[in-house]
Amino acid sequence: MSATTERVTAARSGRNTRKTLARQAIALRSATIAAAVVAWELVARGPMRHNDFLAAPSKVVTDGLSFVLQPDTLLALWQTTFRFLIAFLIVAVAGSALGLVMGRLHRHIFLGARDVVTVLYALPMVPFYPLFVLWAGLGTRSEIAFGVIHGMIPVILMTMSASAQVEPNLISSGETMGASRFQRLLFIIVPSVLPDIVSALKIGAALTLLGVLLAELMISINGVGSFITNQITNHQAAWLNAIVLVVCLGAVVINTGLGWIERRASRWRT
Amino acid sequence: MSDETQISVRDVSLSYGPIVAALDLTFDVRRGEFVSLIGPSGCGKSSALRAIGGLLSPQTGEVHLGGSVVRGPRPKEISFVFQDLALYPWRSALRNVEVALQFAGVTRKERRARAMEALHLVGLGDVPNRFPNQLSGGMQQRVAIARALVSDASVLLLDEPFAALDEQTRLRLGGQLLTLLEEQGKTVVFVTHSLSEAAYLSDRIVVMGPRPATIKEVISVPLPRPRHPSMMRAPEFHELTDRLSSLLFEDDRGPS
Repeated sequence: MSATTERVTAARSGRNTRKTLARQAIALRSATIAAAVVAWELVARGPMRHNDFLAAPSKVVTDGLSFVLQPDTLLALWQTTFRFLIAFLIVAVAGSALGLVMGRLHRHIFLGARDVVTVLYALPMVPFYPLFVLWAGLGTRSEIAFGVIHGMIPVILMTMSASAQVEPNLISSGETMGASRFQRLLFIIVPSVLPDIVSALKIGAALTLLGVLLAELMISINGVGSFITNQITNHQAAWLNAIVLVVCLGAVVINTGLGWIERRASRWRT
Repeated sequence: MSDETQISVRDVSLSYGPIVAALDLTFDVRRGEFVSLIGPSGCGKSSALRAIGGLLSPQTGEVHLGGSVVRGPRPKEISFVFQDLALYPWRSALRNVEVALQFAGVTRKERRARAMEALHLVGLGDVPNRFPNQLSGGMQQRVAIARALVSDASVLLLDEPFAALDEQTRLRLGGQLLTLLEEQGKTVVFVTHSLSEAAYLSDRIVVMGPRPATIKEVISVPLPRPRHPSMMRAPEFHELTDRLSSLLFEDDRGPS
């Protein structure tokens, strides 16, 4: 066999080994998830079979799926999705803009502002929800506001820290090349913190959803949170679990989407 | 090189808050001249360069460029290469060079062509789309130089641009840079702590003392132009580096 053919064969077998490894990895991952589902099925049929709030996965699929597809449930899902999207839009635009600007303030003003935001981040917001209802009224507005406050704080905190740490020479080099203040913000600061903003938005999205759902669970007349409260009251385990799964699915979709953007945005970082 | 003074540093003192970085610096740079600033680390050479570039305001004294006082960056006349190169890691080599023209308001089509030309000039015409993290240290160096050359500024300020490279690459790149700058008639102020680099590249060398930096001596380099690596074996070269090192070490009170 000539040297070239040997190399080609070696390369091919290398590729095949990689493919096999990738296949094994996927198999192992799927098996782990399958094992969790089987464990859930066994627990739900065994020791917890009389529990009113846990249904076996098989039952969740058979009973729950048709329930999720009912118009009332779809409406509740849409109401929550709508609130989440509006809240997240506000978080993404206002949170990252505020964080960017706050990070570029005078050093000591920045540190003071960061203290305030850090305290807000550590503070549980749930006890203040009644205040939100008093301010914004019962319904969509107060739920969006509660989602915004949950998502916004970490986005501001992470963005402002990243924006304060932009390499000073990157900015000086912009100055020497004649970049205006606005050009420095747009062409130097924003791209250099973009990966951090996307990571912040990933956390912000999860917390925004949390805020909206919490609001709906506490004082609300519709949406997924309110629906969950009803199913708990009615002891409808399969329905309850089905809608919780749908929420999980939504969260996974958001997280995967933002994760994809995050990887693309931070390709230049090694 | 002409006799016309292009940069004139007059009694410049520099400080960062209470820390005095440099005291009463006075020296001139003629049009087309290559002047190196050397001195011990942390002696304020980089601060002096930043003052010439308009990035640091002098506490006292003035920097004149072409007859007027420097009060801020002058992108049309001065380009700057930073020690850490300050390349934008999210931009390709080509777009890193282009950015200087983008800030100057040059149209997209023209800046692309000019940036490509500058990359060819530094020998990187074949890798315009690579990102800084896909380039070697020497190649990143060339991108930074292309970015400084593309704007057509007549003054080039270089802050230890080869510090991260090994001695061999450093002298090779330095030599290539020198040829390029001679062809383009640039005025260069070059900060370095390498004596051989300063001796090989410069027309004159400003030797600075430890902080707060003062000027100890300004030495003219006796080597003819164009320079050639073989000159590094010439006796004048060794005399010069000996003199530089004795000037630099005379304040050295040994390990502290």
